[in-house]
Amino acid sequence: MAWRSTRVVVGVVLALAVVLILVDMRGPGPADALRGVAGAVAGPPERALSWVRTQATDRFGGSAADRARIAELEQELASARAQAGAAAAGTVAEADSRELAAQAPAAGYAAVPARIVSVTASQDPVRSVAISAGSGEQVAAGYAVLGAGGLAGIVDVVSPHVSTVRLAIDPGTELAARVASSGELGIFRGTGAGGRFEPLDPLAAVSAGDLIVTLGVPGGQIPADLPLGRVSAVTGSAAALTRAAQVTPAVDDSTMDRVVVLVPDAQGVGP
Amino acid sequence: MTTAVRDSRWAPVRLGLLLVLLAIVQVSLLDFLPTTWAVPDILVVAVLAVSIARGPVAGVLVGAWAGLILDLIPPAAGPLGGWMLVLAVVAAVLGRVADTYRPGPFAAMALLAVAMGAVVLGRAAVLWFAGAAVGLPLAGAALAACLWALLLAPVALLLATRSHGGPARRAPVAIGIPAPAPLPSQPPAGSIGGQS
Repeated sequence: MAWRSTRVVVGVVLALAVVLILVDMRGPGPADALRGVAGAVAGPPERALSWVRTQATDRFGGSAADRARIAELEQELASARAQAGAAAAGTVAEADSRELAAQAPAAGYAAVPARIVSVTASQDPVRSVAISAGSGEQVAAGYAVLGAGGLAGIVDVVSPHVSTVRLAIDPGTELAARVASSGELGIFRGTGAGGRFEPLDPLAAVSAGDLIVTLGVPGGQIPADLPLGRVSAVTGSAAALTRAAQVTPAVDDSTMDRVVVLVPDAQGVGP
Repeated sequence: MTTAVRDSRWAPVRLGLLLVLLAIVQVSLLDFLPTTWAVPDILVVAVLAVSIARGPVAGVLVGAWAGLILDLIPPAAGPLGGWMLVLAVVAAVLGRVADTYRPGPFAAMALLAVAMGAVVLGRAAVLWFAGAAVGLPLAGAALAACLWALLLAPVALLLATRSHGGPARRAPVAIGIPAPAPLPSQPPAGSIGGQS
């Protein structure tokens, strides 16, 4: 008797989970709305805890190598600031985000600085991060998120002060891209560990070391010429029309801490 | 008597809120630990400990709730319901096994660690099914997660058997410590010796 009711409970719960998975896999819909609401609830405590964490790591954390890297970055920052001039310097509050802001294509986008507030566990085969900016900071789904070096990902689910970012290396990422030097067009796809660039023209000149950048469209959510990564190897043959280039990501998301979200000016947030 | 009844009525709510708290601490603190392959996962260990201590029904409910939290709060990734399915299945099987074999304290710890490995592999299977490809040394990650679980298991099992309002159904037998109910009055020494 007791065992039968156990089976009923287990069966109902498992059926519910399977139904949720199937509904979510059908396409975007209620799942994102539910995650947005959950982000509104869990966002503030996550931000508070990660503030404590960043205070601790900023003050006490870091090896000698980290400190050397910080010194190096501060030097780069100083030179970038000198180049960017007074116009860019005043717009971003976070001093350390100015280096990132200086990389941002200034025309048409406002740079909103943010920090990583939560990540998935390293044993979880899918990697995702949440950042400390949301609809309260004019961030919306589809906007570009920059890390040091290039495009880190794209805003996915937005809550009032927290958003989830789909990383560039995520298997769900698919972006129009091109080879920076030759201008050859193609599609960049995340592979989980890195990226893959598939040129539209199978005879296109792509070789190891080439920089892959976003294509972007005028007035679009993602600006042109954001670095995605460098080609590490080219596989397949032009004869079989299956050429693809393995891409080493421009941003190392495992050490990423500060990011910048590019908010198009059309939203009325521009400088 | 009345307090005991009220305690047992609010125990699920308290446990539910505790799991939300554990999940938030997990994603915004522990997941940042720079350890290779795996970080200690207090939320999953808590679910597994509850299902060992309280059997399959409690296990499947707690597993489903914890999974739903992980599926919803930032930085949720993968299909909605993915974590829910994995944690509910593993917790149900684990609770059934613990109910049937009534493991001693060390066996319960080992069981919990193995179940953690199953959670990591099950999660990978769900993501593979959903098309969110896997880029991870999976065996190493599962093994490292097992070791972390083994480290956390004693505390988690102790808390899971002791902290519930009402007397646990299987608790005293399951991990071989005295029942939480007769705390004020010391049980006779002979009964403890005779139990294990």
